[in-house]
Amino acid sequence: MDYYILAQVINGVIFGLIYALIALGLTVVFSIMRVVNFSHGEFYMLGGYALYALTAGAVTLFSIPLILPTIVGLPLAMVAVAIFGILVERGLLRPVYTARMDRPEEYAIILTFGLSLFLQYGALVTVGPYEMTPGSFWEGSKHIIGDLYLGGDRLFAAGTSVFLIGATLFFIYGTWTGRALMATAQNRVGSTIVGINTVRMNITAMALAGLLAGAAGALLAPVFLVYPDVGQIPVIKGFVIIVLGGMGSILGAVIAAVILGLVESLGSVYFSVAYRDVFAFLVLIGVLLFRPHGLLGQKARRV
Amino acid sequence: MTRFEKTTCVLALAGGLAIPLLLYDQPYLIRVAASVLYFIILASSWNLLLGYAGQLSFAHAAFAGIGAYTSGLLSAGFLGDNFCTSLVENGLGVVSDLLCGENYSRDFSYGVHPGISIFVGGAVAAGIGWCLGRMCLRTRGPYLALMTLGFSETVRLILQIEHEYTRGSLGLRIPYLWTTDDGLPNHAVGYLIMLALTVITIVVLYYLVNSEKGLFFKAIREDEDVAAVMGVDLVKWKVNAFVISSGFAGLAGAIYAHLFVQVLAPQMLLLLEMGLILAMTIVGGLGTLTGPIIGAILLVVLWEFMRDISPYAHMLLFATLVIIVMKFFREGIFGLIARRLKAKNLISKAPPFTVE
Repeated sequence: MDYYILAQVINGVIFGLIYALIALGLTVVFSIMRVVNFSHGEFYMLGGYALYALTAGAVTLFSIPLILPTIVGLPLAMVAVAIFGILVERGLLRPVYTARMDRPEEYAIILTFGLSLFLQYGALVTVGPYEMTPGSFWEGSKHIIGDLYLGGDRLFAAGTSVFLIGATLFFIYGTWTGRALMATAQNRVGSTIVGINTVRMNITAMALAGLLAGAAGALLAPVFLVYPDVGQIPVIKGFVIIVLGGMGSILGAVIAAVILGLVESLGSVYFSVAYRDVFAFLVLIGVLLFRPHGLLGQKARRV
Repeated sequence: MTRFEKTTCVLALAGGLAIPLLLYDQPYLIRVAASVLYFIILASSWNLLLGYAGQLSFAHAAFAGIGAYTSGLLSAGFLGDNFCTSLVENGLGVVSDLLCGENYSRDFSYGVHPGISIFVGGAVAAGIGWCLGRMCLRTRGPYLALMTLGFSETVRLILQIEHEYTRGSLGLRIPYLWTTDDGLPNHAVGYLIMLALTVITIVVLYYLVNSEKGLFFKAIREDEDVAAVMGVDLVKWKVNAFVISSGFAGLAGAIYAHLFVQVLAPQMLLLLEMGLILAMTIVGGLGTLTGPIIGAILLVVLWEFMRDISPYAHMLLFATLVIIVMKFFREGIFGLIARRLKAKNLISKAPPFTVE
């Protein structure tokens, strides 16, 4: 057995799972609010920085340096990013669906793009362009089979992702709040009529997106370190995935994420490593051209 | 045009022409002034797409880059030895003199003269703009933004990866468009060339948006379906908006590169550049011709003042301004000014050109 290929396949799946965390948040926000959050990559970045601030001892609280165990830091970082997401919804995105405004799509895209630049350059100005290393979740590399070793942090990230994706799917398909979310995604006016508080659904969607993006950022922080534009490439992967899976489709996003992870890993084995990031864009453009509703998305019907 | 508008235009042009005279011994400030003009062209042509035709494209910086790289590669001898000698062998010596230059320069002996290649750069950008416009016909709103973002990043990555041809992040050295006798660039002349292109851009856009074509664009922006029902040829005018704006962006990118940049790097296609163009248009005032001009001047001047604070602080400020403007006054700075001026009847209220 060629362990090199096996390693690439496993790596592809691991990346796919992390991409799925990012894409799930994007797709939930899109399905509820019809907003593509261009600042989602900075949510991811904030997750990494939050973990760093909580665990590395660089930040002092009442003159005590904060050195929490990373396993405690992870949920705290997720919650911090979720709160930030709620603030963004409340402060900036709410007019998109409450006020009567011209071209709300344009407003949402420009606003979130501006927010993305604001957070990136805010991080550059305040903490600088340096790469920061938060503590490890699971140190060392683990022996899998034969000559195959994998980094403990990557394995931990993959396992946690599986758990979080499962929890999200359960939340959406198995609870009343999740059903209300799906109802709001299908028909906003209709769900208001049956008594769903759609504004609360927006908040839930943004909080969920913040939790998942924060988790992805924190989980990968020990592997790829944290720096201000760390979120740029992952978020673009997230865009590709939600388009490939069908905008607003939750299961589609998970499937598309794993497909993209595999395409990238195997593409870089069989074709070219340098073009790794280009594959994603080619998939994006191809899907938008030939199958705009994606793998599992519904065909858009214009009224 | 009202008298006030005419006076302002003449004063602005006079001011633009006076800058190289006033600053003739300060080449740095002339460079800054030229970068203002470069951003005016980019922001104005992007404004045609978003402000008039309602197509939110993130690929505008990529088109400037495509224009610059096309022109740069041609003039730096990308066509190569074999191509030029084969032209001579086939009895096309005239073409070879034109494209390859007989003894154009020691370093770029087989390059096209930049005076020709800049137009090729603009044409290639317009052509690729046509392709992207065709590809984006069915995509709208967030899909269009994602498509153009993907396109822009793909172009940047390809330019970076194919370093055998483009020299990637090392930077591609390209010849000057205009040099004095000692082989150094003359910034004042470069500035005047940029000014000429800026004036051409603004004049073309003025006649375009004040004709019935401008009404087509606005109709598409307000509601594509209704516009189509009313008889606007969606395919034609959406693609035209892309071709015109990317053509100007490509030309501006190429000319600015040959006059002031000299070393091309894929960094000029970063989303950051797109952020600058976006910020200038939004802060100045979307959907007006004056807005992007005001925005470009204001933001570049602010940028120069903020260089001492931190190399990144300007972008933080611009992003904050974009958020504030979008949230509280979407018509931008010029929109605020225009409201006052309209009340005093200084600028025309109705569109000056109506369709019969």
